[in-house]
Amino acid sequence: MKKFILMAAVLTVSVVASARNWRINYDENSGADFKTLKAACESAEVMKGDVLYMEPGFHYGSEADNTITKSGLKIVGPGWGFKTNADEAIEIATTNFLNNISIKADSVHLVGVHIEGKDIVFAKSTSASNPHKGVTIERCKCSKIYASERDLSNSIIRNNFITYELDLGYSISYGCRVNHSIIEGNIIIGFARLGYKSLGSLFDHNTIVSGSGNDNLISSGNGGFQITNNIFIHKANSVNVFYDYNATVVNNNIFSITSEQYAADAASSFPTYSKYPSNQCVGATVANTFVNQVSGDYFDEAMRYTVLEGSVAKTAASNGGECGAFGGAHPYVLNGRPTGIPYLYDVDVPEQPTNNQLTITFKVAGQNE
Amino acid sequence: MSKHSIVIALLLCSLSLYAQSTISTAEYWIDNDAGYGRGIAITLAGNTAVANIPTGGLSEGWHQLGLRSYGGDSWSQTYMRSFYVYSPGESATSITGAEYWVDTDPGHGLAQAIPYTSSQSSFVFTVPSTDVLSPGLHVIGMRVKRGHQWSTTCTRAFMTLSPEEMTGNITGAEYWIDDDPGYGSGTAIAFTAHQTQFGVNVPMDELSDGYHRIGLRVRYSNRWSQTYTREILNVNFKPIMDVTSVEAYWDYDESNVFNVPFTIVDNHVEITGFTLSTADLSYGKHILSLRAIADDVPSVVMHYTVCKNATPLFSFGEEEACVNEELSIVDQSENVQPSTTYAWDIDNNGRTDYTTKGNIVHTFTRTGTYTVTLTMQTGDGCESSYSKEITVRAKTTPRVSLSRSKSSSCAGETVTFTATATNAGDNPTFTWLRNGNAIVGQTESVLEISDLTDNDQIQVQVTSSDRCPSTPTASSSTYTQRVYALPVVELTFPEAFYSDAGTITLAGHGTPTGGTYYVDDTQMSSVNMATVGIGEHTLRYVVKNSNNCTAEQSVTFTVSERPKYLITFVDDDGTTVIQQSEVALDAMPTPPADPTKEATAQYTYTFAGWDKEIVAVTGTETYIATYTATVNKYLITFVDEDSTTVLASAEYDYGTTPVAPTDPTKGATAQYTYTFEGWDKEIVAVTGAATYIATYTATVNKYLITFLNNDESVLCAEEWEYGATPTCDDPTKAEDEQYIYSFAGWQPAIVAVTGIATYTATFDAESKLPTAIGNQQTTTGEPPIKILRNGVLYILRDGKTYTVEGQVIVPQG
Repeated sequence: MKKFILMAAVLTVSVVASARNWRINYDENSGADFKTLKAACESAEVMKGDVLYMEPGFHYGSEADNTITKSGLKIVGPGWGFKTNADEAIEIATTNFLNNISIKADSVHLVGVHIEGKDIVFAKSTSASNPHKGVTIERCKCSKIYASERDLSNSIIRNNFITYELDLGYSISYGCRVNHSIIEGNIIIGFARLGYKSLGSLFDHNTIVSGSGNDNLISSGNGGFQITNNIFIHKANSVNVFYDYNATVVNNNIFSITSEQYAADAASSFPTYSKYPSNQCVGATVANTFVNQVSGDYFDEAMRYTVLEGSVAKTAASNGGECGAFGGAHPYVLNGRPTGIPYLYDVDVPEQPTNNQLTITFKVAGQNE
Repeated sequence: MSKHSIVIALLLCSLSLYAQSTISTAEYWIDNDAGYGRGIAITLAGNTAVANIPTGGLSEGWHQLGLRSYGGDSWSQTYMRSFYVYSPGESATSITGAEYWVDTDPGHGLAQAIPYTSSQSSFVFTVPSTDVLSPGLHVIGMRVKRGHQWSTTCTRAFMTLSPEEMTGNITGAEYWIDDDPGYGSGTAIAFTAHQTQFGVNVPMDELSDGYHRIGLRVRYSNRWSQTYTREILNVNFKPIMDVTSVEAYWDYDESNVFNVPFTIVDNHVEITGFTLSTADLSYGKHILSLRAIADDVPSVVMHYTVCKNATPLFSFGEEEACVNEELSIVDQSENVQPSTTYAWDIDNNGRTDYTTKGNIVHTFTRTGTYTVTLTMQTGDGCESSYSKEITVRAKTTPRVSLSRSKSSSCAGETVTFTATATNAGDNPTFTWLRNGNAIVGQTESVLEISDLTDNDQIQVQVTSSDRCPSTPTASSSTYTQRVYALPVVELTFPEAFYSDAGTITLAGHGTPTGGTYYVDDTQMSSVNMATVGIGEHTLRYVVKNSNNCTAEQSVTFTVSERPKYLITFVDDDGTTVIQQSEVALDAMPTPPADPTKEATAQYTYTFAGWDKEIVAVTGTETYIATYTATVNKYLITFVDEDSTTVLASAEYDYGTTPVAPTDPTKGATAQYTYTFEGWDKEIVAVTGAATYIATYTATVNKYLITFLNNDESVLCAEEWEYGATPTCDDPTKAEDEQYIYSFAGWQPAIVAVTGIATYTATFDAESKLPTAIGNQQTTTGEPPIKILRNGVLYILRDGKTYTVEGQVIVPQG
């Protein structure tokens, strides 16, 4: 038996001293460093490796104001949905945006940002390479993540809650390839389009639930993606769940179509099924796959999509584990709580003091998972 | 985790406090802040406080340390730090763990363990080939743990080629991180022509925190292999960040940050009910900002709007308002400042009706329900409102009608009058009038009255409880009541009966006649006491007169069982019960059969009757038996010694002394002579039949016994008792020339005395010894030789040798 002999010296902890933290708050009275992302990016003081803290509150800026033009920045939001009573469905202390966030830079790391009803856009720009490189969008909640006439390379889209669509193949005519990238652990209430003639990318452990219509749940043109361990459910039970010219690998996915539906219309519903029989056309539905309820100390709609005990998806992954966003090496993390920074939750600050006293209650956690 | 006793001897914590110009005191606390001035004092050295803080008593794990100083007239903010207490044998530099993972990092403490020692500085470990030799790119991560803290993960990438790809000599190898620069443009890796595995140390120090992609490929001749890629994570990763401080500040003023004390619960920080004083805040809107810092990384700052404002509050003078009437609205607001502005929206139309600061009076001109809102502003942009509903009602006119249960009644009969009020509110009150005078204590809508007299007049007034009456009271019409007299009824009846009293006719017991009798509410003309039963009963006599007025009289009587008494017949000892039973009053007891009494030695008894006459029962009674006693007679017999021969016999009364007959005699025998001695027992008073036996004394008879020598001379003569053996000394007879004589016995032989007897002595004669005897001579088995010499008889035994010496025979040898 061959063996590797590894020798390693103990590493000492080193701290990068040059990275700086900057606060962004649209409230000019907040004392924040910048009012908008654009202002931060235009500042000569903000350097690659710095962290921009998007403070809770409404960011009224235009899409131009919400544009990231400097590479190497990490943008951290507070997450969302921390609360004490799930039934009240109160979202507190989070960010919201009047317009989309636009990324026109490389090596941007966007985490924990809540953009209700608006999008995160890989936008065409002269300040970013084509394709966008090294972009990470993680633990964000938004309507869409899409690439506008841009390719994507060496990027990560992970653990996001996307309420409409993930569209990385917006226009074939403009390229829109996704190379050497990872799309995993996302919950998409809509559909995903993965680009055309992509190369060496992974679409793994995502959960896609479509509302209605005949949209394909996922489209992937001319291969380049390994599509594994996902859950695809079309509520309208359409057979058009999958459209793929030539995916590289399509394994261990759960589909809402049944084997009978596949047999009746194999060509249009799932052309590569016969090639990758590890997929399961089991008639998966929201009811038989997910717990479909929200409970606990936090409010995150994503909780509905945790896999039900006894569901086929529970053990159908390639490693025998769970398919969908809550399985895999990077399971979905509720509330978009950002990794690597502490966060406050269960905050109760009265609106008005009583007898000149204000009694506040909250919790702080710092968890890197 | 092993139990620890002492972790580290001292935690050295040096902290300079520059918050005040002159520090007068400083203090610290661990885990629990007892409040300003209540911490543990720190020795000051000028404006610097240096504390050696003992931690020996602290448990293993994280603890929080707070330090602050006092100078001038205020305390500094509390500087807080967390510190870790190690178990014995451990320290911050001890190696406490080592592990590696392949491809996927399972998390700290969850990877494959690497053997280690606490002081180890380098590690050699073996990775199973199955983990790294499958074709493709693999990443191996390794890290060590010092104290409680993991190191960064040292990551190395390895690529193993598949056999299909190994189609020629390797001519190049390269890798890239994050961005693929294109074939041939990556970072070159050293290689040999037939190498199958390639490794590269990922330059983690050059990478930013976060996920990165690494790509690795080789070239065969002019063809590149596929690019194997894998993600690596570069972050000073700890699963749980250490929260070191929680901070707050007002109004974006980060120069006045203050610490928020916290406790650590299950790896997260909790701040429960931390109270901030807002006394120094100006009135108006303020922003409270909160943030936490963990591992030197701040959280997103959270901002919360807090309004310091007067607290609007008011009440209505009345719970309901009346249309076109003034309503007082009483201002009860708190913390009202001179700058506080009031805005009253009375009619809920969104417009300010009054800006009065204090109480207001308002008149509603329309009915309805209104929400009155007081909105206050104190300072800039901070509004507080308080709302309360009030209903405005129309005026009402009260009315009351009267009804009664009957228009004519009998004296004492209850008559019910009922008032029905309308438009008098939910809780009207009533005043009842009798002949124009108010009846005290009657305020309800119903009047029940039983002491009416003929032609009494009844009326009621209602007082409205409605908030908005047009007039406060209203009166009903008046009723005149006819009241008739009742008949006079009398009833007499015995108070008690026995149940065996039979049937009693009721007629005649009540007056006037013509009424009806009821026993226990059942109409009866007679009552059988056994049927009506034991207990108390009511006899009621009801008489109705011509006005249909009814009167009645009632008496009670008791029916009881006839009583029984205990009748006891006892023996003459007064205690032995012969018969005992309960006998009904007046019944004649039945005595038991004549009792008997056992005779005694002295008496025989005969039942003579009871101690008193048996009569009808009047109560508990005891009868005692009486007897006649007769003295018993007994046969007394005197018999001879043989117990057979009756000498005398007669019957004597118990207690008398019998008379003995003349002393009897008994004939003598050869042996005895008898004399009457008495009776076998003393003659005593008679207590029963008895026999006395004669007894005699026996005297032994004596006889003369004579012993004669052979010459007929008397040797002995005396009386000997019957049965004795007589004796006499043996006699002698002098020798003669020829013979020597020896006594030979008595003739006849002596026997026991039975009468007079005579015995005669007899002698044996032996020849004398020859004179020649003088020489030694030995007897030779012959019969002993008897020699009589000089009056001495010598008997020579056989086998002995004798010497005759003179006249003496001397034994030899």
